Amino acid sequence: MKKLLFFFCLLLSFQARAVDFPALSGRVVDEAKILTPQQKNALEQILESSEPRQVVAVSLKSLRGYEIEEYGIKLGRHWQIGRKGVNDGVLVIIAPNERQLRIEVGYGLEGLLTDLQSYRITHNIMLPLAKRGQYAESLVAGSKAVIEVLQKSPSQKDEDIDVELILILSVFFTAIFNDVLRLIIKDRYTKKPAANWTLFLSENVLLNNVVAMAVVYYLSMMFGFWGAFWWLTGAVLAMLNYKNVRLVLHRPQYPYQRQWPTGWILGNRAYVRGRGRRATPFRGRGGSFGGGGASSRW
Amino acid sequence: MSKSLSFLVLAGLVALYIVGNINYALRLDEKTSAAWAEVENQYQRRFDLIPNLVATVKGYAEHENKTLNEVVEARVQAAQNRVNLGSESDFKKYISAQDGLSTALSRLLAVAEAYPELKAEARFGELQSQLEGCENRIAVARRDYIEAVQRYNYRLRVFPAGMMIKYFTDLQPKPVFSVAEEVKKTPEVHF
Repeated sequence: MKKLLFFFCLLLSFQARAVDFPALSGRVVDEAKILTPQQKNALEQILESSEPRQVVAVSLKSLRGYEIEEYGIKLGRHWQIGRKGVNDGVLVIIAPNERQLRIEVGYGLEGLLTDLQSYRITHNIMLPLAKRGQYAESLVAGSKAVIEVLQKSPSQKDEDIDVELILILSVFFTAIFNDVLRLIIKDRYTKKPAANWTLFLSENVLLNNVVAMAVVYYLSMMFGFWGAFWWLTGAVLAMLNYKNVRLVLHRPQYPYQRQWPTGWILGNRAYVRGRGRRATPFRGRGGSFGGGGASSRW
Repeated sequence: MSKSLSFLVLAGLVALYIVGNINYALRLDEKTSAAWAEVENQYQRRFDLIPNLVATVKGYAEHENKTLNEVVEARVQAAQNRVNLGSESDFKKYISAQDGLSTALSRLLAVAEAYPELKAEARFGELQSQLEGCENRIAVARRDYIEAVQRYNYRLRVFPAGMMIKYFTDLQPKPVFSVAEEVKKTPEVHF
């Protein structure tokens, strides 16, 4: 029993050791506030050119008591930078208060951006600037150098498959709708077995789809079931979201804007016609890290 | 609901519970094996790096034969690979050999401090950074392994799932690095 308790404590202590992470607000996470808005925008642009690889520039206010090697890998794994299975994420980190900087390289890029190359970047490019207190320049220069190395062997672009979520949902819903219809028809048959509208509907697949779409559409518009539907389909779609195939779903942010009254009747144009789509927020794609990269201290 | 039916349902639920637990344990077993493979992998990587390092240091610090020989010997000691995780003594031997190599390496780097020309050599700095990277990877792999084994061992010991797993499979608890070893840690190398 004692042993058991001991293990239980171990497990608990494992979970209790929660680490504090800054939010992944974009490709540039400027927690230490060293970048001007212009610099930040410019850096975002540069980092975006590495798509579909994910390179993130981070400035940290504090390392939360860890060494930068430890915190860097925790951060990378927490954010899941890089694609799942490909693990092609890179973090360029600077912690001015602790005087440490690091390039954290995902498993999949260790061959391309070797420890040696990372070291050359941190030691020869970033470190001299950081020593002079030019943290912003250091971060930008380091990120540029990383991108440059990565560009030598560009990654296959994602094949973005545009999928209107509504279509997928309608497929799901048609199945359910059909079953419900069958139930109703059965019920009706027992009472009065005449041809009726439900029978017509259940036989006509195309019409069925249209009706199902309409039902999904209006339910989601009116009751905000969207969130629930999203998670349901999201789970299935997540399985498809690996390597070079990515489904781009145009999901309105919740709570989405309803254009009253046309929104209720004609639907929200934003996702009927695909206009006014919001850019999908930047987030990790399931990548992992194994401690590759290099650090410098000053 | 009749009595026999409710019994069937109950039996079905119990069977599901057992199967689920066993499969979970097997999955954890696979994970620990993978984590251990990663640890070995990273040690191997360091192993391959050492000849270059030794050669570079030799060029500048030929008087440090003793330290250099220690590294070479420790490397030979650590050459034995592929540990059977079932045997605790094998595991301990492997780890102590690797730790011996870590110690020898850190001593070598400390000695190298006394040679300014060596320190100024770009190639040495690069080798050193690679070694640092190796040590970091080893630390990460070891941490991951510990994490995986903790979960696995816990699953094997917890009541009552552990009893069932032990009854139906031949899974055994796996060795972990002792706490003392982890506290001692791999020597940090930075300049």
